[in-house]
Formats: sequence, C-alpha cells, structure tokens
Amino acid sequence: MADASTSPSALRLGQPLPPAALSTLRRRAIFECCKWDPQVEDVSTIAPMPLWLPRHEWAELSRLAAALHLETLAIERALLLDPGAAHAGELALPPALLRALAPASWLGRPGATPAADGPRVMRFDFHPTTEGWRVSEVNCDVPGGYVEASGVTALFAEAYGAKPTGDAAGALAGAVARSARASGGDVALVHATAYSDDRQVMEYLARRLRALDVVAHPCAPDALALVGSEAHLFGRRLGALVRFFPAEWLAELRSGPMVRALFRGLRTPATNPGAALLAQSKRLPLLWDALGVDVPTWRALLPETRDPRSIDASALAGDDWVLKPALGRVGADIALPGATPPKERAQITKEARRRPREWIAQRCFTTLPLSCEQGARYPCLGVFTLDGKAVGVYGRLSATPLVDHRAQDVAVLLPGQFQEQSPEQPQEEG
Amino acid sequence: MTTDQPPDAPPTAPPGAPSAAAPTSLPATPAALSVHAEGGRLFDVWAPETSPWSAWAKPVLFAQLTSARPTPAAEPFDVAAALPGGEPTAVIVDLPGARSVHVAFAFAELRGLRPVPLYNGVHAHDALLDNEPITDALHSYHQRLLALPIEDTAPPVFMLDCIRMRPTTGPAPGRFDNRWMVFPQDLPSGHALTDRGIKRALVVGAAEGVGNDLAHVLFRWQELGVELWGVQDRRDTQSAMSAPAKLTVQTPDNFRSLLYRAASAMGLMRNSAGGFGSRIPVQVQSSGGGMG
Repeated sequence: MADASTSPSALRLGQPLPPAALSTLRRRAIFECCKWDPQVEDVSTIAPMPLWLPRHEWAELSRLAAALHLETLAIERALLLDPGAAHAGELALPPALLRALAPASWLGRPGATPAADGPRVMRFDFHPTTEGWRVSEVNCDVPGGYVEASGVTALFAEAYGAKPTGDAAGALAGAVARSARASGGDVALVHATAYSDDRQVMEYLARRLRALDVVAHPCAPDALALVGSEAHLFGRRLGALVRFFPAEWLAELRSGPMVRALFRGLRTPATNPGAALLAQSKRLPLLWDALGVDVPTWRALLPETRDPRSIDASALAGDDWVLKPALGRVGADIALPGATPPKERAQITKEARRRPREWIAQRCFTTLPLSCEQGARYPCLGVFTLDGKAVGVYGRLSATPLVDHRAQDVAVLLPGQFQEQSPEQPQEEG
Repeated sequence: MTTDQPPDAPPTAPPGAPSAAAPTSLPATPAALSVHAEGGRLFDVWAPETSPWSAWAKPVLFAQLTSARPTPAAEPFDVAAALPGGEPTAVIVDLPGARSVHVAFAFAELRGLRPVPLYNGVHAHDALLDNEPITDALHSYHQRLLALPIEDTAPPVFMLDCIRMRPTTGPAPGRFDNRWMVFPQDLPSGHALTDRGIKRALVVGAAEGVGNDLAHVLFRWQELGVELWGVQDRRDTQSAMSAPAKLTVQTPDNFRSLLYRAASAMGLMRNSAGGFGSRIPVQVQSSGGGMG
C-alpha cells in the first residue's frame, strides 16, 4: 500500500557555483554531455546550484515510483485487451493512434500482438507538497531529461563531492545494449530530427551505447523499413530501437507498415512501444474503476481528477481546480490558479468547456517552495523508472508553481555526511 | 521550506573532510574528450563568456566538429551603409550558408558588433544541407575575430542560414534530410533587447524574403516595441547592399498556435519524401508477407 505521508520538507537548494565554475560546467555540459540547449529565450536552463534530496526521501520516492511503474503497466495491459477499445475512446487519443492500436485494423489479423517490449522506461513527476509527495503526471511514452538527469547531474555531483540518485541514461543504455546483443543487431534512435534538443538526447544515448560497444544510429521514423516483422535500417536488421518520437505524431505519419508495426506486430524490441501512450493520457483516472485494475499507489499520490463537465463553472473559475489537456507536454496549456495569467486561463477554460473530452480537471495541491538568492523556487522531481526500478531523477525548478518550458534544470544530489545537516539538527562532532 | 540559515554553512568538520561549501573550481575536462577540443576552442572564440549575447550561441555545429578545412576569406563586404544611423541596433544575418558568416564578420570588423552563431542543424554524411562551408568559414575567420576589439556591451549580429528549410537540392534516396528551423526561444526576447538599450533590429536577408519561422521571432519583437529594418543582400555584387528600409511584419501563420512546434515538424515531414532528418529510404526488398 502506498504511503504518501512522508514529509518532503527537508529538501533544500545548495549554494550556487561561482560564475567561473558555472561557466566551466556549462561548457562541459555542452561538449561532454550534448547539452546543446543551455539557453531558452531569456533563461539559462542550468540552475547554478544543486537540490539536496535526503537519502530517506530518495528511498521513499524510489519505492513509490517502482510501484507506480507496475501499476501503469497493468493499466496499459487492461486497455490493450479492452474489447473494441471502448474505454480507450475516453482518453482523448488521436483517432489515427486508436486505429493503429485496434486489433481489427492490423491488416485483418485480429490476433496480432502489441509491438515487442524492449526495456520500458517511464518518468513520474513528483512534487513536495503540504500533504506530502504528490504526482502530477507520468511520461511513459517518450520521457525526456536524460542529458540533465545523467550527464549534467554527474558534473554537479563531481563539483560538490556528492552522489547522484542514479544514472538514467546509463541504465537505459545498458538495458538496450543487452536487448540488442540478444537480438543481434544495431540500435536505431528514432526521433524528430528537426529539433536539435531532441537530437542532443539521441547523440548522448548514442555515446553511452558506443561506450558499451553497441552501434547506434540516430534517425527519423520513416528511415526504418519493415522486413517481415522486424525493423531494418540502411538495409540491415536492427537489434533494438529507442523511440524518442511522440506516439501521437507517429500515428499521423503517412509511413505505412513500419509505423503501424511500432504499435502492433513489431518483433524488434522497442523502448517504448507505441502503445505506451495509452497510459499517459491524463484522463486515465476516469477509467480506473471501469478497468478494474488495482492502483493503490496512483490513488494515493495523484490528486482527485475529474471530467470538467462534472464541475460547475464557478468552482472551475476558483482556486481549487487546475485544467490540463489530456495529452499535454512540458506544462503547456495548463490553467493553474495563481500561476497562469488570467487572460490565458480564461482562454483555456473556454476551450475545456468547448471540448471537455480532451481535458481534465485536477484538484490543486500546494507545492512547498525552496529558497535561493533569486527567491522562491518550486521543484519538480521527475523520477525515471526502468523495468520497475528507479534509476535517477530529472529535477526542475520553476519560479512559479507551474513547471513549464521556462523552468530550469536542477541537479538532484544525495547529500554526504556534512551536507545532510538541516538547520534544526545539531552539528556533528568531528 | 528552508530557514534563513544558509543550508551549506560549513560545520565544524575534522581535517580532510569534504567541505559543504560550494566548490570554487571544477576538475579539468578529461583527456579522453579531446575529440571535442577543436570544436570547444572554436566555440570559445565565437561565443566568448565576456559577451552577454554568447548565452544564445548555438553549439550544435561546434559540438560535432572534428576538423575544418581552411577557406579563403571573402572580399570585404561593405556593411557600413546597411545600419540605420544613431541607435544601437541588433542585426540578424539570414543569408545562405557561408555567406552568412562572411557578412556577420563584416559587421563585427567594420561596426564592432558581436557575432552570435545560431546554426541549429546537424552535420551528416551526404546531407541535404551541407553545413561544412559554414563550419569552414567559422574556422577561417576565428583568428581575425579573436583579434577584434569588440566591446562587451556591443550589440549582437545573429547568424542564420536562410536555406535551412529549402536546400538547393531536393530529397533523393540515400540522402540525409537535416533541415531545421529557428524558433522564438532560440533568440532573446524583445524585452532582453530593450532592457539593454537596443530598440532597433536590422534583418539582412536574401531576395526570397524572410521565412515564416523567422517572422515569428520578428513579430514578437515588433509587438514589444522593437523597430524593424531590413536590407537585401545583393549577391551578385559582393560589396553592396540595398539601403535599409523600415519593415513591418504581418502576423505569421500559426502565430502563438499552441501546436506551432508540432505543426511545423509535421509540415516538414509531409513535405519530404523520406521524412525529416532521415536518410531518404532506398527501396528495400521485403521477405514477403505483404508488409514490406
């Protein structure tokens, strides 16, 4: 049973690096870790200080994230086996994606299986709140943050003489390497190559794979070819593929059998298969009861979630509910009371009223802010899980309770003996 | 919630214990990463820490650089007349390939502006966009750039490749599709310019005009009170540009669309025979089963 009663109030921000040291770290992040986007408009994306996470809190987050991973997979299985995809229709998924997943559409082969699972990776976004830890969402389709959680965090750990919580990119590379060796072939790193911020992740993973003597090829989805039930690239059979291309975009491509195979029928191990998007819809809590899947950790950690139509207009305009798109990313299009500008909030509310099946209303929680020289900062800890085990954290700091594209990346570190003291504890004797 | 006491105040620790205070320096870059040394060195010249605009410099081409061919510098470009007189002006050079480097350097040499490379495409073998002329030009000018007495407060000249989305050769089987776009978050906001006393921007463009992606940037600047000017590069006369003229940017397609980034990528994919950033697939013989 999930225990959401631990207190995350012991989190704190460390002392910032001096400017010269930060500049050196930034340059190393660019050239050693492929952090090619250290600036987004007027914001430096790298926070100058680490976030200290007490070890007992990391143990608790690891336990909770592992439980969430297993429950999420159970939900996904229930949806895939759902006759006629009746419930999947409630998730606001693109019609093209539902067609790709529905058994009847798979070239008339109703018995076709979902795409083979490679290592499964997810990221759960935890927030320290007045009610303990809370989770706002899961990214189980294409979770991001590998460069920051692994490469950049390792640089901060080195600078502060501390330990990171894990190495998400390294864990993923290791698992994919084992999968590829078992299948006997190279690895494709599938992504939208228009964006260098996606390409940088692929380059970083490619480096980590090459360090394990595995050949990796960053490519776009329609560079792949389906031969039999297996993926090929440049005329060679692949051993595994890592997908960093959102499933809802994939479903829109006019790319024939290979793209369809990423949803159903592919034998090449894929991380993650196209069906992973099913469990990412924020409308999923509306189906928990109907699906009959036991999800005690989700129920304990996720705030109350409802269809916007079930809340009257005055309550929706108040301070208790946040509106989110069912498939939103990077905090986009969220109407959070007190954080979203009023005009934008009104526009979002109007849209949610117009198309309520594409939105959810979630009960607000109060994030515990952390103090630094620049003022209050609201943290979000994205815990990566790989095949049911927590493997690292992608930390973000926002100047407002809404964590969006303007948030900074922060290295989450485990304090050592002399960093763990809280102001309330007596100093340790030498 | 933290208290007022600094969380990392060093306690009384035994000798040799790790300090809890912030470190003052970092270990040096491991030698194993010397493959990136050339790119890093070049990046330091084109994005020196002394300039506030260097934060926006895109490192992509530098991070992938392993070697560069020296190329002869172009004849000097006369950009003196291109800048409207008086106020500090940010410049965006949106010209083809290496020419964007040549012209940007001319602004640095003749008008003391700080060049800021914004090239955000990748190197690849047999690619639709050949970025090597750009990196060769960046390499060729770097010594001269290093010697220029550009002030730390100098306004920026942002550098873009105007054929980033429309290469001269079309997709063909086996070629790598490495087109790219510029987004508003790739440049400073209008506030960042005006806060530094820059209330005017000059676009140096090709005859084809400003692409829709750059129009999104310019329109946002315009909304925040930055006055826009434009000059056209006269490619057939190396030394001349048109006289500057005031610009008004109309609302671009999909302006502030919630799905602009996604829609952009989808549009690019649909336009390409092989998919954006891929190798244009060569016909593969399937093993049968009706799935090839």
